[in-house]
Amino acid sequence: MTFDSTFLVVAPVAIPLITATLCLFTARRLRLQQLISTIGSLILFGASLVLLLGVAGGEIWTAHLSNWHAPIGIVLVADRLAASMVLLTGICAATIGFFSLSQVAARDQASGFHSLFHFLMAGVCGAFLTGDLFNLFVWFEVMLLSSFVLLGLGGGKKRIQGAVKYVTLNLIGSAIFLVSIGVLYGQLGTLNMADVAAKLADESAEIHGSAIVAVVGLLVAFALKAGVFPLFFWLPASYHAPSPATSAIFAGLLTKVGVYALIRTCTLILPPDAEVVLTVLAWIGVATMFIGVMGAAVQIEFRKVLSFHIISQIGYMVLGLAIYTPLAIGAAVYFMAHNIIAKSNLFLVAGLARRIAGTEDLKALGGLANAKYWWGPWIMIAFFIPAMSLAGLPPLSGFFAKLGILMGGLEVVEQGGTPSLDPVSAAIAVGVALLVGLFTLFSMIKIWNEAFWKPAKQRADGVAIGVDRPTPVALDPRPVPVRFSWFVPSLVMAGITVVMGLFAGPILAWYEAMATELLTPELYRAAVLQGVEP
Amino acid sequence: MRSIILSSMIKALMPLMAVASVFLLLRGHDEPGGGFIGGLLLATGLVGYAVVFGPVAARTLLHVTPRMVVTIGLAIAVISGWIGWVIAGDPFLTSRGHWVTIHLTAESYLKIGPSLGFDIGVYLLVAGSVMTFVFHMMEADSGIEVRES
Repeated sequence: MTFDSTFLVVAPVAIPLITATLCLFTARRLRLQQLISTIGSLILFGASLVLLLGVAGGEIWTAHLSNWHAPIGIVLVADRLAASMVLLTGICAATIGFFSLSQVAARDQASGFHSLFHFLMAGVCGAFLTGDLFNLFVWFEVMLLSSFVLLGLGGGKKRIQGAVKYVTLNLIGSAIFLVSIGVLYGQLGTLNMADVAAKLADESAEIHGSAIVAVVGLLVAFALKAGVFPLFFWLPASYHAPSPATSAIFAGLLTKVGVYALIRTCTLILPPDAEVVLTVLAWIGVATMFIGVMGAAVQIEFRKVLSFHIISQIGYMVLGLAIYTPLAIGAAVYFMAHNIIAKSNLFLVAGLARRIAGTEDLKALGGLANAKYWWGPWIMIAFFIPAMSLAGLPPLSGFFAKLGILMGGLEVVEQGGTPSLDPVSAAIAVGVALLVGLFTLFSMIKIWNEAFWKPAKQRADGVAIGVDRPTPVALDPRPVPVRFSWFVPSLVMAGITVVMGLFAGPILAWYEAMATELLTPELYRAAVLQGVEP
Repeated sequence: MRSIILSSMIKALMPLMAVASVFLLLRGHDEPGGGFIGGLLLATGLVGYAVVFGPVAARTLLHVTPRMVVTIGLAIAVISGWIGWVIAGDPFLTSRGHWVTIHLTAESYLKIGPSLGFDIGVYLLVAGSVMTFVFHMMEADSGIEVRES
């Protein structure tokens, strides 16, 4: 037994797998299962923190699984990007895991919620850490299958419908992904990302055009998973359906895995002469931002508004990536970190609002800003901070994330363009990004006014809103009074949002250094392919 | 489905399929076969039994719930992944250097190691999952309500 760097790189994948297995074993004892699940989440958080601290200086840690060295065996790679994403996963696991204890119907918890939750975490961490394309596909499938069951858990027409739409459209993405992997393997004879990158970058070798097509196919598959325009339909069709804890974890992490894969592919694998791909990505990013926010404007259901905002925010990240300067990519990753925390938090608050007021319809909601009850101020704080952060108000994290991307765009305008982006397009992109920020603020204010400040109406079950007795969650027959512990995960996440805003300077600088490293793919390749035994 | 031909055939075939699935599992180390395909074959036999005698009879025959089979398989797979690490600090899933060869007769031998453990885990996992959902669907079809938790 040695607790070396190899162990730490494997740990974020292994811990949730072990936790999930233990949760399956204790399926009959709900209390014990909840305890195991919580402890597992906390250990995952701790391990991811240690991993990030280990690689924070710019080292790249690898683990050659089964002791088969790259490019033959599967390798897990933790660089700064992967480790910071794993830490965010750990934070989400701990907070949303805690939230789920009180907010997921007891029957759903007993029929496998916790083990599926941890399988999902294993899939997400695996996707962030893997250095092998086929292994990435496998992790995507792990995520897809566990999220399918999580979506459908509890049954009901709305949930099953959402789950079927989600799985069908994601399977199309998986098919494209798999075909691209096949073509790539046929052309290059390897699926190790570092090795693929090295072979594509080798100018002396003759590369068939189909390998480039395959790389573009990968990008299409990741774009579908990330939910960019025009491949986002599955997202708003399914994210509002499941229990709030489930949709929070989906909203926070799943689309970001797609964005992460896009960033990894563009920086590592995409050959340097394929700038046109980045140009297309930039316009896709702009369209995604705009369409997403417009979609949100017409929605009147709490979580549907938020779902369309996910799409809009993904647009920012894609745009940041497509600008392709260290500043912009660093800001895009910071944006991703900010968004994972803030967006998950908003879904948690939506769940709490539904629990307390009995509805998610913004027209029927109202009166949550209620000073008569002790929870009034807490739910307001829990909503206000992430919402305003999302809208980009200083000094919260969303402001600096958008600022970084806008500065990246303006830098391109100043320098007279990059190979992928001419100054006029960059200026248009910056303009649209600003406009979208304004619309985001509008949407958040809409929820703020409708759900919080509008006079309270009758609840769906006839009780006046604000009565200190929440609606029983479906299938949970015992109505329990509102507890402070319900708000703790939200408040912790709101705290993280504030801290990320206050320390935006050093964090952004760190991310920029990370992006500089990403734009030098030789480092990653050397780290993975070093020590290859003959 | 009540058919004397089918029911007498499945009684003979199911044990054969179970034995063949173990053969496939053990053969999988360096020839075509392995846990996945073995597990499918095992599940096919039991599903055939369920088709003829009903899912309730198949559950009785199995003694444990299919879900427990999944759980145990998963546990075996995860544990065997860590064996190399516990013994020698090797990376996850390492088998190299942890093989034990048992000579059965002059020509035949059995190699036991972590990757066989992993394969057994996969075998149980696949068999268990297939049975879980097939039995559930058959019960939903015939209106039998079985609570499993």
